[in-house]
Amino acid sequence: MNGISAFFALLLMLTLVAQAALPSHRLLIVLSGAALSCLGAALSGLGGLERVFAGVPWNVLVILVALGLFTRRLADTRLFGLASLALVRLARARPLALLLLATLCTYAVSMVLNNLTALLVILPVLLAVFALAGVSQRFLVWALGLILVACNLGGAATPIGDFPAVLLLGRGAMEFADYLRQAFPATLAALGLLVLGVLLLRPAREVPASPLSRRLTLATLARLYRSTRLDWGLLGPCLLAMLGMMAAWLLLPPAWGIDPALVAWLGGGLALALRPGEGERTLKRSIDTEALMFLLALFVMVGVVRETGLFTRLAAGLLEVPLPPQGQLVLFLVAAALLTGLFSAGPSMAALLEVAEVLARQFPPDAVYVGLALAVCAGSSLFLTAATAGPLMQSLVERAALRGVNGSRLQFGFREYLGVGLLGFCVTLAVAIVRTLLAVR
Amino acid sequence: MSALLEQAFRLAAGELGMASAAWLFVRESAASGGATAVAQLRDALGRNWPVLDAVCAGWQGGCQAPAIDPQPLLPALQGVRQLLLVGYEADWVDALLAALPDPGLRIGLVTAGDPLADWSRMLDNHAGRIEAVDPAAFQTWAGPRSVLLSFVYGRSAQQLFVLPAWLRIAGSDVRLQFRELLGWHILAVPLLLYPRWLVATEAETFTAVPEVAA
Repeated sequence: MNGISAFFALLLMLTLVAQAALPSHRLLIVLSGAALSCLGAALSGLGGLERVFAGVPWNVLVILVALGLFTRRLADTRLFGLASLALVRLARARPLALLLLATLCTYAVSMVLNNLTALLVILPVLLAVFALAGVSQRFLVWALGLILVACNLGGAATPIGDFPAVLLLGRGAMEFADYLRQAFPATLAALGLLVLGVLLLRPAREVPASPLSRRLTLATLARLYRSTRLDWGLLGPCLLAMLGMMAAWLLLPPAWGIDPALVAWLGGGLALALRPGEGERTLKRSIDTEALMFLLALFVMVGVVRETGLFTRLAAGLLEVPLPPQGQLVLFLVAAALLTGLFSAGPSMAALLEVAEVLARQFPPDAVYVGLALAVCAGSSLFLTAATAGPLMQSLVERAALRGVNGSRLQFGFREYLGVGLLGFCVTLAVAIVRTLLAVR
Repeated sequence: MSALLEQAFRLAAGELGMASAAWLFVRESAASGGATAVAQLRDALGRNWPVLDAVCAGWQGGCQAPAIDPQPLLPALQGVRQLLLVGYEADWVDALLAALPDPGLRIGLVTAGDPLADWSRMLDNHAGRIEAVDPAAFQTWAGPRSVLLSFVYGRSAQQLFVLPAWLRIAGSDVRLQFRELLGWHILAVPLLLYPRWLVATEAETFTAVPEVAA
């Protein structure tokens, strides 16, 4: 590693550590890191701002913004609140049935919506049920932990569910259908194993339950949603737009040059244009500027490090580790999962994809990319802070101020989540490794 | 167990209103275990939730359904263009909306109350008919054809028991900015305990408080 590579790599690492340590200032930290990277690149002759920005995968950002806006409009139809209510009724407010249905529902929703939105639309109803029915600390932790991991797995199941897969799609590393065909069964298997593991731990064994509390839960929920109706006028066209996007992603020949980002842009635009007034307001208020700026800064920093050739050398170094080729690949996946656990999915995926592209010359590319997406998904589940959905869930739970049988406040934080996170990490990483080894065999 | 029941009632009261939630809990308890269950509910939650206690006492005394009649309010709402609600009682608001003669009347709800309440979920039940109004901006609704309406839960001599939000909204200057400051007395049963969660205010802070049918 030469001096320039070491400087930019160190700057990237320090920025990532600082943003993880000081999450309340993370945007300022990564933007400062990106500015310093650009300054360093200009002074060291690596290239000016124009060259650095030319390396930013803008189409990935377009997909994230367009799908985020589309999701917002879909949530405005009240579909998810009513669907969650139907789940509670289906489970008849019984804790274990509710846990299973909520997990499956979260997985399914996360496949098409971003993880933050999936939680924002499912958790309010679930937390209301927890408040009405009453839950134990143990049940709360396992239920919410399982839902968080299901959210990550659902996000990794499709090329549009979460950032790592969107990056693969946007950079053209994989086609939509290929990713879906390979990642979906693997994430479903991981979810199945995880649910089985959680059920064996009997999370609901301390939950107090009485016919009256179940009756009150269902009756109160019915009143809370007594006249809430689906906005069919918005939902119908939104679903049509979604079907159109899916069809375009799956069927349009690459030779036509219609990039997946353009499909997302058109689909998102259609959902906004259906009701121009509301669409304009959504456009002005609902773009996740924080996530956008964060990812842009990361892309800039990773791009500068790439210009130094460090990632190519790291991949070459990995291939020189005295292990059989499969062992090298497993080492890469484990490292990817652990790095994601520490630095979160965005930074890890952005940096590791550069290494994966080199490894993809030695191994079947799809196996490497899907393995990486699954390993990043495993890492996202390790700690509550590893994925953006974690802190969101923590704050929603804090806001709900749930209490246990003895009146004490129920907690869901970093420490409480650790057990679930470890289980989710191990199961998902094991599935990622086994799947990748089978694919390269 | 009563801590969990209390938590459940607080959530219901935060989004449905204390009286609506109390009637719901009493109805469901009675359907589940009859008079014994209502007595147990009163024992468990009555002390902390006086409105629930009053509703339980009323139920035990033979008043087995709330008296919800918006008719006495309607004369005061004739010709009004804007109606701003301070406080929310789901059963009473639903009845009022159904009875309003002018479908073009603009209705707002001041979003001040339990911090745990999910205001969008509450307003989704009204399909855009009620707008959320920030407490700091409620005076943008003022005008000669605007009315403020809040809920009254009981009375004692010259004082009325109302939601704390009413005291924050109904300052002496506000009286001049709205055509009417209406109080809707919604509890047909007397409050027997100290009205926790409510505040006492002079009856003169309202321009009219139509009486509820016994």
